[in-house]
Amino acid sequence: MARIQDRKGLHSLISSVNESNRDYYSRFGNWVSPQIKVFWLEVNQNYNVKERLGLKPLDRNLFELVVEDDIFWVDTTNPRIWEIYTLSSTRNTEKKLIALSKGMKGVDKTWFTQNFMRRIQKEMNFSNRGFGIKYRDLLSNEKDTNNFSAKFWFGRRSLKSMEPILDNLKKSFSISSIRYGKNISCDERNLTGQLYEFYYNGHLTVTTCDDTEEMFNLIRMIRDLYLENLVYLEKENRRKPALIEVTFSEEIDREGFDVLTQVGKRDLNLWLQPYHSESDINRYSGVDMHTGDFINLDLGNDYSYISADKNSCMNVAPRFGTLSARYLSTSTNIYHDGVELFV
Amino acid sequence: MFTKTSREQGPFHEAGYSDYWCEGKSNEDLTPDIFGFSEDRFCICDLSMSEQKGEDVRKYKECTPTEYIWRSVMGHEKEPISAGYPFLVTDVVSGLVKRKGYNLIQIDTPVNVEIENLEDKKLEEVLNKWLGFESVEPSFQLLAVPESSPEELKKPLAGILKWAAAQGNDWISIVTLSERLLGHLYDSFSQKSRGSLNRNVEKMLSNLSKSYLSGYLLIDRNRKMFRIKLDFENYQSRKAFSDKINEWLGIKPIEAYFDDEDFENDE
Repeated sequence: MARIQDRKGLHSLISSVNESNRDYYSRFGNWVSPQIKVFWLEVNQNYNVKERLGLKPLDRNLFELVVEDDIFWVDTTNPRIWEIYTLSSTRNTEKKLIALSKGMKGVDKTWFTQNFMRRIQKEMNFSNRGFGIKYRDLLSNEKDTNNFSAKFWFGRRSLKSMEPILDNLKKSFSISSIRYGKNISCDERNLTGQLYEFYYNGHLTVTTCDDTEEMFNLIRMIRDLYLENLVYLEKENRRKPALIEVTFSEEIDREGFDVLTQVGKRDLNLWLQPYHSESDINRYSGVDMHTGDFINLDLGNDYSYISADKNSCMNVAPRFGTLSARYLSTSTNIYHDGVELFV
Repeated sequence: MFTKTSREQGPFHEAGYSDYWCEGKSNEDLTPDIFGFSEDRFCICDLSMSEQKGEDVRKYKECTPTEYIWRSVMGHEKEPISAGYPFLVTDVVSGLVKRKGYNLIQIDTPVNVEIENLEDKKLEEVLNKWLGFESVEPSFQLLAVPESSPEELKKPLAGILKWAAAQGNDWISIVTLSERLLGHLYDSFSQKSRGSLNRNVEKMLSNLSKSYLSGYLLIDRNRKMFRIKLDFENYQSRKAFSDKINEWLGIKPIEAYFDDEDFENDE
């Protein structure tokens, strides 16, 4: 078990994991675990989350959490968006760390829209290295829900013959993860460059990286851009009742949405009650279980309006937007006052 | 009317009034429902769902926003000038007689706009050609009106009770429920009508505590408070509570085919 004492220790651990992964790949031609994973959690203050999670302080704004054999290093430099580093598998992290915080008031994942993930790619000047699709038809209340998941990884350029297939898939399904990087080169079996996989539900896997400083810049940029959108929405909502608009590129099964929200199911975390139904719109009121905030949601055939209390947490916007994209598997966009957010 | 969505733009927003402030105090110690702001002007809107409000709106003719609103909240450097007479915005279609001293907007299609005095010619032009909302307007948290009958209040109240159940067994004032029903417009309804809504809500809660929500809902009549005892983080508890709510509303529960919460993680 890798144990570290302070920030310097964490940075040198991450550097050496990157180094040994590149070395392994150079010698044997495939990746080896462990790989570095970064998770971002959205944490509302005043809920004593540090205590409730049992975080052990290591250094300034750096904590350790050990769950069975898995270690998580929690960086709370930004008190609202925490960065969590681990060498555990994504599955274990979901099962242990995320499950531990699931249902805990004040804690939520971060939710990255497809356009947000693309924005990061553009800002970092990363090239495309693939994408993932994970679709589960939870908005139609059928016995056998449809689902489809796939990952497409390609090299510096996708094959010409693959392009129509990839384009078609991108049109039909929303993207749940993006693989991108830069300067990847494996000349004379010596691997250089950076390669990451960035997931819609708030985490990133570092496949390889030869520039740890730039990796930390990327992690910070993701945090700051996400936070910028959240803070903007919350500031607007305090000034005047803000309306969040989410548009879908295909029609929603509104009865399926009723099922999903009437008891507050799954990651959507909304426990709602329909109070008005017409042929083209249902209106709901209820609670965002993440913080206990009162919310209103109007659901049209291919759009939705969300309005919340003055001091509400606005993480509901990217959560609802990205999960709707997963369940519908088409593109969703989030707007405030006609301007697209989380892009 | 002051907002823009990806599919539609409200007429005030189109004329540059994209900023607004609800229930702000004026220099004259009045409280119109909305002060709207463009780059250099302000306008006043008062909302009404009844036929009688016209007389009231006239009093805002000389009304001006305080410096706190235009400078500190809206961030204007120069004091904005008035766009003209205040607006009475109403969804009343018939039986309304336009009186002197304000502009009228009847928002239900076919829209009726009667401008009596407007200095802002751009706003006048936009309003005169406005045909009404093309898509369904957002609820903006207005779930009911004080005149809603107990039967009409049931469904909006049900969602609010779910919110109350998620407040960790805290005591909540009964007035809070009325505030949630009327949303941002709560203060713009008269004290009398709010009082009547409070009484209706209290009666409904009292009945619920003895019937469908017995065991969940506790009322402290003296303090006019209530609380809901529920382990809301537990899915089964939420389901049981939701079933009771549906029973009260006479809604047949929808059969969910994925009712095991631990069936599979979303990822």
